[in-house]
Amino acid sequence: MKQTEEEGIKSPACGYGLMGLCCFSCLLGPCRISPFEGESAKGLCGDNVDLMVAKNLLRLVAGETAGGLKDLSEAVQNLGPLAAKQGAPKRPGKEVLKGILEKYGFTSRVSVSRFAHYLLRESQKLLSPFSGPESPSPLLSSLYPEGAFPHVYRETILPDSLTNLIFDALSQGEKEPPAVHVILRQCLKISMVKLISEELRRDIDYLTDGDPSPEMGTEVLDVVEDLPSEPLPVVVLLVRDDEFPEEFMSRATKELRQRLKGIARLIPLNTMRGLPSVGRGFFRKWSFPVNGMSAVAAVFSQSPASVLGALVCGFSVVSSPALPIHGSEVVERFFCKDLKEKLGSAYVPPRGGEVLPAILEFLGEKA
Amino acid sequence: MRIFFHAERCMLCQSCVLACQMNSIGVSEVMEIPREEKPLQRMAFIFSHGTPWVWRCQQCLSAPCVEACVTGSLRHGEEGTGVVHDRETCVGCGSCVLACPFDALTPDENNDRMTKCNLCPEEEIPPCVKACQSGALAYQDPKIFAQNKRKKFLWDQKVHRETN
Repeated sequence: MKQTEEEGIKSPACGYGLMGLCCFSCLLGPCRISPFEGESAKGLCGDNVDLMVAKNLLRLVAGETAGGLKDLSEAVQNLGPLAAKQGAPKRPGKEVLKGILEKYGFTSRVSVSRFAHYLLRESQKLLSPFSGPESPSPLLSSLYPEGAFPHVYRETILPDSLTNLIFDALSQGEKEPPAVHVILRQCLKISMVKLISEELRRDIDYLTDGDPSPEMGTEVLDVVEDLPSEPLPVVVLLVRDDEFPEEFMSRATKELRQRLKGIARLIPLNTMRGLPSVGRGFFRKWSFPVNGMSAVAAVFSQSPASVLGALVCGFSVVSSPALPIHGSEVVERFFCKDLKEKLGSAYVPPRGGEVLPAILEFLGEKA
Repeated sequence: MRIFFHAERCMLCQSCVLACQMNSIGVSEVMEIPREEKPLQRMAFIFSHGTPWVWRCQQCLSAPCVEACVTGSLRHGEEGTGVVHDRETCVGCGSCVLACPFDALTPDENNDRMTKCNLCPEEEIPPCVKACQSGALAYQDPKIFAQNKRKKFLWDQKVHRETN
């Protein structure tokens, strides 16, 4: 597994970047704070180590999510003609369409145009910067039912608007910086926005383009349906297909499956939008939320949003490369300890840079 | 072998300094850096008249620090290994600091002795050179380094003549 990791991961070469101790947000920088300088060390703007690491993480997650929101906005515009029964979109496959309709609480008798109208209306509300704190959008309640994701409601991570959080995150440089834990909560909420926007966009694209590639949610549900009736430890292997070649995924799957035989069931995913589907599937199968089970996600991705997205879904997470949080004790403690109390899941730092020993330690096995 | 610094290739990333510090406390992964530990300062990144410079022991062929050392813990190594500092026999008197024209030796506060760049003999390539992604730090035989410089100079002259 170590060789597979080393061959697959193209980590940044900079130790400061790996720890989150390098800030490039203003023209006076880039600033670097050495991990050996102690708590008094500050960047040129006066940010200490904790603020620098937290803001770096926020910038990374917000930047990635903003790109995804742009794609979602464009997809939502394509729903207009379908909702108005204009144009002739490709007919989506019956089984896949049924799965999508059920996900949003509709029966298969509903027409595609009526469903498109519903998606258009609710998506536009979510994308509007003027949407305020109301009762959760019915669309989000379908994607994240309270039974399957209780922590999301308890900790108010579910967003009211998909865009306001990004505006707030990217405009903070002009005001007094908020407390570190506030920034980190924003990171979690924005990663949830990323999850929502990816899943919505995929569903909308399927309706409007009739993309013949299999709907991720349906594929995942097939895997979850095959699980036994009693809950068992699960490892979700997330290797993003836009970052790694397919052979890396096949090799990692094979090696992990071999090593976890008799210990845990492995569910491979190649996109982060499959994570909520797994959570919903577990709840449907076992009536347990993800954070109530022994479930860990092994995330191979350069994207912190993927790692935080898995955390928000209730999985404990090991990632390679590691999250750039080790530079700050406060930030590391938030993700590795404090989140365990709030979400029931936590970030597990890789051991010696390797993912497998951390997974086994989480599952209570020896490496 | 010596470490040579090409200032024109330096990206100012300071990965070399971090790698040296991590090596001095015996960690290879940034995730393993213990929070309270103070590393040894064997190299530093400075600016000299606006030009970046990696300050470290120059491994002088006729080192004043070797002459000044009262316990013999500083000595010329075998051919090609520069000036070696034996931390076990060092008493931290600081005579070497007074003698060194480059101020390359610094006190190791944890152990009451001095410290300097030893070219990391336990590693095949020093960690600072491995960490440098732009090739600004090169670990080479001085004769080969000088040969390459001469070749580059002659090549540059040739190109200059041809274009004019």
